[in-house]
Amino acid sequence: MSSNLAILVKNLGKLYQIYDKPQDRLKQSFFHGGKKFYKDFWALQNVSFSLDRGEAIGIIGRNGAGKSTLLQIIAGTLIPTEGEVSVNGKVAAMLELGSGFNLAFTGRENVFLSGSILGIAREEMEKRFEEIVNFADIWNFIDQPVKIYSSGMYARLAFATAINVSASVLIIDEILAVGDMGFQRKCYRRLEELIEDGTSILFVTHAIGIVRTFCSKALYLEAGRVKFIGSPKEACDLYLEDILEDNIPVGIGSEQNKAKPTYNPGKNSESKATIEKALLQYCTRCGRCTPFPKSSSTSSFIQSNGQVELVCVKLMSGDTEKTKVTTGDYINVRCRFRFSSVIEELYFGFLIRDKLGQDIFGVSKSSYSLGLQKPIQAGEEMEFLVNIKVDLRAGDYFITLGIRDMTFSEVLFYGHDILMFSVIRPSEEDPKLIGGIADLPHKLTIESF
Amino acid sequence: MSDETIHINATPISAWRYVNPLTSVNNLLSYRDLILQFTIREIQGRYKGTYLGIIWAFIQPLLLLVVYTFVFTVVFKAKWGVIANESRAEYALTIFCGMVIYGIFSECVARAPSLILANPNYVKKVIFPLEILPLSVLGLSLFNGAIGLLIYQIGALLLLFRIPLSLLYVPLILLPLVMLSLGLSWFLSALGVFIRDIGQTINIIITVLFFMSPIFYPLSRVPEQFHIVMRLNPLTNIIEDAHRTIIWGQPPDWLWWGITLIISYLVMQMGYVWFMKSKRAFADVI
Repeated sequence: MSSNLAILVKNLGKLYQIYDKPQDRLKQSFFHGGKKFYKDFWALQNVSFSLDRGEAIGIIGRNGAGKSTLLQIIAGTLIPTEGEVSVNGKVAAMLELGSGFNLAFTGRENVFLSGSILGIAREEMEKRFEEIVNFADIWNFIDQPVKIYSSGMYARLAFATAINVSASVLIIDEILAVGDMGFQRKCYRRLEELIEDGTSILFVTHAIGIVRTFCSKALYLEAGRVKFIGSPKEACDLYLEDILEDNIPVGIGSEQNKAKPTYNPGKNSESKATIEKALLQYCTRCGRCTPFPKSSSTSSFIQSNGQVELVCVKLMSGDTEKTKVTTGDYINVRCRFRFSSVIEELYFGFLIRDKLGQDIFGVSKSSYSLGLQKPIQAGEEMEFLVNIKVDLRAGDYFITLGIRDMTFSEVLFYGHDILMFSVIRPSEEDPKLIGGIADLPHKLTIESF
Repeated sequence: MSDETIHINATPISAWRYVNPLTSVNNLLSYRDLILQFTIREIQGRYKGTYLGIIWAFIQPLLLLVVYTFVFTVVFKAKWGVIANESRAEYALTIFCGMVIYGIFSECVARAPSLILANPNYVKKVIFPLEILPLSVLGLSLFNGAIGLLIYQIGALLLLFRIPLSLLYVPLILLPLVMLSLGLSWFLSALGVFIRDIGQTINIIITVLFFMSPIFYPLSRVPEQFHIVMRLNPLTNIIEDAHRTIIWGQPPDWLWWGITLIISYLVMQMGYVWFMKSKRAFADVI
């Protein structure tokens, strides 16, 4: 193995045997090589990559794609079914923050315990102790049992311990979401230092922005196989596109059932089929528009009293349909409705929300004020066009549309979160430096006198 | 930074790798800090949060000794019948001594099946030398055993007015006991991960063995034809030797001591190999 290589993964595969009933497991142990009572499930298959010293790799993919399985194998807690992993040097794994901690013992005792689990002598740990507690910033509580710690304090101490054991490979599984903003910044700064010192880092995260800014490489796993490996930007773009295609918005609803491998390889294709049906149902015109179907994994739904039908809705930037736009771009939202009864005058409403459901921007106008000075006839189609400049912070946003009858003040159509789009910052800028909701055009300068 | 390359793959590791006692001992010694911390944790964990703390470790054996002495000296007036001019409290103290020795064994073995299962984090979430967990339980049971023997000596001083010089043999007679307990702990803790029923079975076996070992009676009271069956249980020889060295001031029965030592060593060696071989599959099952 070349001396600059930190990790080499060759044709890695992990097979799980899925038993329907626990009794089947017992039966299997009596019928060696004979009848098969289990189903094969490949949590990982044919995964190969390498990582140099001082490189950070981001591992992305949907829930159940095999990310955590991969990390566990590299960490050495799981044995692969096929293939090989070679790791140069000591591995510190944060598969779960503070999982080596014992709740009844004090912070101090736990720091030393973690140290000895990683094979670091007590004297060595004593030298690092001050730095660890300084980093975690919990001098007041270090001699208290960790069970009384707030979850933030617990996470801080665990993280501080893990990064101060001078491992040559650091494995981090989706854990930096804890801690306040200040601490997160501190962690990333420290990780950057570690990378500069030649530590290699493996990240599993759903925070795409971090992969994009932090990693020099990204691995996109899908159903246990490598879908893409290479530049973080390309991997993230591909991943986002796939997610939007599936209409499972990032970060909504899907977080709760994370990490557990879904023992159902057929599930993906099934959900795709229903999505296609839903699209056909909504769009008879272009055959390819982007509204969300009603599905348990999204917050989107459509309500209509039957007088108005959404025919086609598209999010365009320039002439192309888009789901991803850069801060400051203009987008066009085209939505076409078919009316099945005469409507004197209507009110069209448009609303952008963020993924927390906060209203970001809304606009509504009556058909009369839009210049349509005659009633809408039955069978007629109308297209509304909203043109907005997206001065929004990087993130995911949802569009809600509504139509109301002015005369009877009745809601004719309501489409909740039916479109999703992601805003990204130009890649040369750090999205973490922008706070708040809007990303207003600005200049920040300094002058000395 | 160490430059050692670790290879992780599906190739099973040869059992011979774990047979060399030097490498096994080296492996375990490299974790001596951790073993010590875990042993202290075991001991502290038992009494942490109680008002009396470590005093509880003394109260239970002390109370037992007092009750035995009362029942078997005042009520039953039982005689052990191995040495001449036996004192009245001798029977109670002999039982107590045997129970302390048996306690070291039973504590290890009873805990073993749930040992790995109780620490899923150490299997799945951190890279942890799981083979040291049985050692920390052994540490705890030796600690309790030492307290038991201390209390026995106080009792012997007060009731029998003697402390024999043959006490110096005690470390030697504990050697097979430690090996046997450790080997079975390794074996049962690994097996317990795959077969949960072990935990239920082991409690029955511990009770049966308790009566099948010469704790309440000397081996000499057992009819001759059963001796060979009794001797198959290594605990018989260990407890008999404990009686000789701790109570009666005699040297161990060297022949049976040697045989027991060899059996115990083999149990330990096989337990270790079994544990290290099956360890790799723990994360798949837990």
